[in-house]
Amino acid sequence: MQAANSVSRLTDLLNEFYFNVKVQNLTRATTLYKQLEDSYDEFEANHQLQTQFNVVLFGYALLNVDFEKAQDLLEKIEPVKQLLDDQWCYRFYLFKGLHSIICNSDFNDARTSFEVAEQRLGSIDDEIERAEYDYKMAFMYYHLEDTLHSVQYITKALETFRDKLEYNKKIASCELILGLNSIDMKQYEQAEEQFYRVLDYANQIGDNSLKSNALHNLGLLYASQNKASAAVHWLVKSLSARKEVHYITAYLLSRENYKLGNKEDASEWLQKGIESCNNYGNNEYLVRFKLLEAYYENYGTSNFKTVYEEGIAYFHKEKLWRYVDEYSEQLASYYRQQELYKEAAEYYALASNARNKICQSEGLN
Amino acid sequence: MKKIKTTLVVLGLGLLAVLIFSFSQNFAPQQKNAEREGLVTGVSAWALDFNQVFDSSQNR
Repeated sequence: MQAANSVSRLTDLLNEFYFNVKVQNLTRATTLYKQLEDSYDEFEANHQLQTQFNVVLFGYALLNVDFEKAQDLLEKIEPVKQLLDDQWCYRFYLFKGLHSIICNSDFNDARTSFEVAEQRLGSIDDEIERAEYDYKMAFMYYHLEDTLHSVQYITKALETFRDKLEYNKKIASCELILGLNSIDMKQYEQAEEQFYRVLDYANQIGDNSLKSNALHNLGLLYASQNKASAAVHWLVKSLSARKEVHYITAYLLSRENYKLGNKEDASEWLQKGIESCNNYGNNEYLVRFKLLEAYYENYGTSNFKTVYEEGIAYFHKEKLWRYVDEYSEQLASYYRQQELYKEAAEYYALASNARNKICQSEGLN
Repeated sequence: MKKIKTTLVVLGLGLLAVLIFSFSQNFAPQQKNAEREGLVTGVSAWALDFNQVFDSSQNR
């Protein structure tokens, strides 16, 4: 009887721990983690509970940005995952998908995990949890540039959230994804309306993070239409609503200022962006900043060629084919202008090869 | 005897096909995904902006 009570108490604590990890309430999650750790002896006697505990710890490690611990836990859970029932299996694969996104920026791998989670979605009674799953899928498909699936999932999530008054912020977040998909579909007016709605809502509730994201996306919307002045206007507003400089906003600001011929401003944002990349440990954008600078400051010099060749080699090594395509094409075009046709052909071939890799990868998944 | 030989050849070819298939899967082109330029809240808080994870109301 006492053992049954103990299992029931631990199960309740585990469910509460999971919920708080999921909604990213780090303070409450840490309190629950400490309580559960005190009961570790009881877990050791029950392998199923221990595995469930490890699943939530896995998510907690991701939330704490402790990737080494997350990797350790993943390796611990994998061989015993058959101990998990459908509901816990769903939770495990949900975190595994997030792990692929956060640690490896690997959205294809994330998709595989989320699809396994989806097979267990039927065991989840909570319709909000199902809607949140749809939201994550929409986010992932946006990153995979699969607009159709992203819109399908976000529409499904919106249908659930729209009925619930207390999920207004989630509705606004859905609108952000819808707006970004509208940009991808070149539905610029629709995107503008969607971002303005989010902006109005963010102003109403005084949410600076949401406001900054909406403003950034408005900047991206105008940049996508080659309206550099308007883009700069919204991007600057986005950063003034944020405590720190976001490297993507700084990248767009630098690029759009270069397009306008405002070299001084462009260079200033470039330096700020590099600083932000160093703070976040983001190499991808660090290289992009160097390439941007080389393109606008040193075009035609030997430094330009060196920076571009090194940058392309880096993206090739990292298998970031979209960037290999984009920058190889730019370098090839430069060589063609210089009438260096052999080099131009080499980089056009590299760009073409990168596009094939993207197509092959899409076809295989 | 001839029948056994034929069976072994067929099995061998089948095994070879399976090996070639799994080999090609292991070397299937992989790609990491370049970060998109749009900003989203929620999941991106997990992935991109760790300052936001301290806000417990983030998901609502």
